[in-house]
Amino acid sequence: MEQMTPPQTAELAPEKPRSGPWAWCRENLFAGDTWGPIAFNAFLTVAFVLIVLNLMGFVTTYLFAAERRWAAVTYNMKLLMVQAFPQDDLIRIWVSIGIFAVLVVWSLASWEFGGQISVEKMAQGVRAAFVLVFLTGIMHHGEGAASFGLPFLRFDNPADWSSIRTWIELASLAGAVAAHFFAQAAHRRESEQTVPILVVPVLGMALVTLALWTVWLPVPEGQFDETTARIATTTARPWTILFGVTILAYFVGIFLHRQRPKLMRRVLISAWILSYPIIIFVIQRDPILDWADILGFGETPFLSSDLGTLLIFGILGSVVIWVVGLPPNRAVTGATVGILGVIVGLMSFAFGDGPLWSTVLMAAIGLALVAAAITIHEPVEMVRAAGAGLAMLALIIWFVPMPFVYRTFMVALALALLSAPVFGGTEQGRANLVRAWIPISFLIVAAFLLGGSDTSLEFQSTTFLGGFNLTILLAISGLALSLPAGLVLALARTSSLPIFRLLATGYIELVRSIPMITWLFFGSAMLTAFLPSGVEFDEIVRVVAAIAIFNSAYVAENIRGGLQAINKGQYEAARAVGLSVVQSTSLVILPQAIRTVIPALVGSIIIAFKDTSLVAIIGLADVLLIARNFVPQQSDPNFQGTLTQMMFFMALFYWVFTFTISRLALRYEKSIGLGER
Amino acid sequence: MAAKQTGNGSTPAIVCEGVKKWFGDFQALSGVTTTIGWGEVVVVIGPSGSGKSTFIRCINRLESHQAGRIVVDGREMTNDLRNIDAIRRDVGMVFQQFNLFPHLTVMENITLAPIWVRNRTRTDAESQARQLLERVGIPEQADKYPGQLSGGQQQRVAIARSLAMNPRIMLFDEPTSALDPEMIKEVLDVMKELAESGMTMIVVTHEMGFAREVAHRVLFFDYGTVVEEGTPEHFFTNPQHDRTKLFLSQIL
Ligand SMILES: Nc1ncnc2c1ncn2[C@@H]1O[C@H](COP(=O)(O)OP(=O)(O)O)[C@@H](O)[C@H]1O
Ligand SMILES: [Mg+2]
Repeated sequence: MEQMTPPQTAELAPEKPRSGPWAWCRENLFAGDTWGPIAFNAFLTVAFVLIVLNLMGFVTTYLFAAERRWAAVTYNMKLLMVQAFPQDDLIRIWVSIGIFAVLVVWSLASWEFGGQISVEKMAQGVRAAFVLVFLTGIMHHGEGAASFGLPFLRFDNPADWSSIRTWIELASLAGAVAAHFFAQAAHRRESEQTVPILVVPVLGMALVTLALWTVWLPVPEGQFDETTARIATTTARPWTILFGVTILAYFVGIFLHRQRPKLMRRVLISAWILSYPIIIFVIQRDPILDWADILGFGETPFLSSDLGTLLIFGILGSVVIWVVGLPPNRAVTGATVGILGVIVGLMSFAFGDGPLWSTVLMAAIGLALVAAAITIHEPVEMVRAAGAGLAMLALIIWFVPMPFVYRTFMVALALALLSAPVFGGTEQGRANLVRAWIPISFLIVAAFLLGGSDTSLEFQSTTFLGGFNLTILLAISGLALSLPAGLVLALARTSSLPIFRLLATGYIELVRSIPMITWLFFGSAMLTAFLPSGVEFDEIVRVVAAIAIFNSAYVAENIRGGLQAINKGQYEAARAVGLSVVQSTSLVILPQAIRTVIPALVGSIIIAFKDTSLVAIIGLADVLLIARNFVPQQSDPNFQGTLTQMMFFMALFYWVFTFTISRLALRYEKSIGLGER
Repeated sequence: MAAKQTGNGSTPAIVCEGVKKWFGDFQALSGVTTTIGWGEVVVVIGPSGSGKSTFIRCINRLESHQAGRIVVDGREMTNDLRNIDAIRRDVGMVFQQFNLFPHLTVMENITLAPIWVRNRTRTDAESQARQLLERVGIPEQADKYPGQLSGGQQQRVAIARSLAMNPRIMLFDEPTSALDPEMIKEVLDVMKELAESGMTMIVVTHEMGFAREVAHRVLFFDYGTVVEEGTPEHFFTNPQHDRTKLFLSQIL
């Protein structure tokens, strides 16, 4: 390659002149060169400014009207957050939040999340926020007036130091001025100053913590009479401790990450997965847990206790999967299938109360499979035959009386075995299959624990779950189920096997054509009728199932869009270097497909989060139902008719959450953007 | 310039007998018969749409043929998945559009298959990848993403990615057709070096200079079949067939 000599001095792009206020106005408000467009744009600008001023005026007039009872929000905070959660058990909530917060900051540390934000930009943002608060504060329609027009620029009577409005106005003005000078100073610095972006949330949390100990909030004294009181130490203390623990956890996380980065990430992923069942089944569950029953020392014998079930299937299934995953070999496959038949037969004998013929049938099928495996010569075909046989077996098992949990296990096992020829063969593939099996068995047992079908345990959702606690549980559980389900559906719908395509398309179209509320009714009232008699799941579980059914269809369609955007050459290249179908899909196609649909997926997640409020229709007390119904209509007479206040607060509340989700997603998108070009 | 017979003894690298392939009613391959020995470099030329791509894609089963036999390294292509996987591990392929994995770095692109298919350790695979990047002349680009490289560099990464599986046969489908002229040479140089090292190669290309200099044999495709084949000297100086003459007159 011949070398080109670079020019001695690179020419710089001309610096953009800093525009004065008039030029800025012309460019941004009245953009145009001749009078026609200028007049038109000026009209638009003025009209728009009027609308904004009026909106701000309405908001201030509303917020500071004398008859507002914001105590309805502050006083009912516990009701909104956890409804009737027993006061003595609130520690469970704090521990749940603590686990979550620690995992979040640990992940931030482990994935080196962050980046820098320029001090000048930050100061400018703060300045803009203060100016907005100040402007909103001084816009006013006058007491009681709510007509559209020019709102008053109303500075409160300076003598009225008792009005909180005066203080807010003064403080925001001072804040805006301070931020302005700070921004100017930062601008004059030669080199741009930056701070880690994590400083922003930490500062925010520190401010909130400070406020917890200093701010006095309104509380009702008698009818419509308010005083103020400190936030109770029972609230302030745990939040302060949480704040401390979170910051500590961050530094510990960074330290651990420096020591063993890969190990830490693996531990974290497992911790995230485990945190969900732990929080739901152990921490937030009704305290009356009969551990003796769970462990099998109580009334239920060990083999039919939850732990017993888990152990039987965890170990047995692992062994079977390991053996079936061996490189195909006639003897081994035949033996495995035979063993399976015998196991199934024995199980139906031991746990089912069915007739003898079912046991005989099982054993006969097992033997037939052994014979089939020996007569078919191609090893691959043999494994397939075994898998198909097992799938058939699983179908038959549904008709043999045995506890529902065992049937579920058998079906899951048969499905895992069906995939053995694809994943198996190599040591690594078999190990992965076994590793996948263990959480599956754990999840099945957990589902039955929650459903309380086989033991005396009850998950008393009606008294224990409500308010925001319920909202977040529904949202996270629904998403945890619908994201993987949607992924599988999307793959099925784009698969080359017509039967998968047909089933997935049918499912998606059916689910999407029926309103979510109908699915909720289905979950709450009708699902039981579709399950075998004797199997009953808690209402919350059924509702989560309904939410997952509904969301998974939308998630599937989003992901399908991403899959279709991937060039066919990617798949061909992956296959050409020797990756298997599953590897090509999971290592090459899906990572790219999911990246392209993150914006759409985040949209789905936000919608799913907001849609949890629909459960109010089937009588579950989510945070919105409490705000809309319980507080203004049913509780303390002090709060009768405070619907608008509550709705205002709820709007803000939901906004904070959805906005956070969408910002985080945006940052994530940017952080992975590099690989996308 | 006779083909070297290096391979593992008796079986030739690739044997095709009467390979036919239809897309719907359209016949893309109408009976291709040829045998390729170990270490042989075969250049495939022919007009657009004559079935060159389809032919070499049949050899690693990106397309399946409907009649005839394809035997690669003694293993016949059937629907048996395990056979196909085994063959694919032995046959590397380089595409016109590079088809690098855009979400992975150059290093990850190269080490992906060795780690997942050959069960190599990461350190092991990475040290091999560095050697390969050295070999294709871009050792300094290991940590970049494909989108940050020039076309020629991307194609050289694609070659390194294929080589990482230690294939015994390499297929090239118009590897330089999507490249700007000044980048063609850097890719051809890598391919030349590969041919000199004794790799068995089938190259679909319009680079006649490359064919003259490197090929042991040239196949001329038209209407889904081999119309004429021979050594480059024979082919470029003394073509027999009218269609070959017409084609050569158009492109030379
Ligand atoms: N997937 C396909 N479906 C239908 N027709 C195809 C497909 N792939 C190739 N063809 C047709 O087969 C013929 C041969 O194609 P190809 O092998 O790509 O030709 P070449 O590589 O020689 O230009 C062309 O007419 C093309 O239109
Ligand atoms: Mg082609």
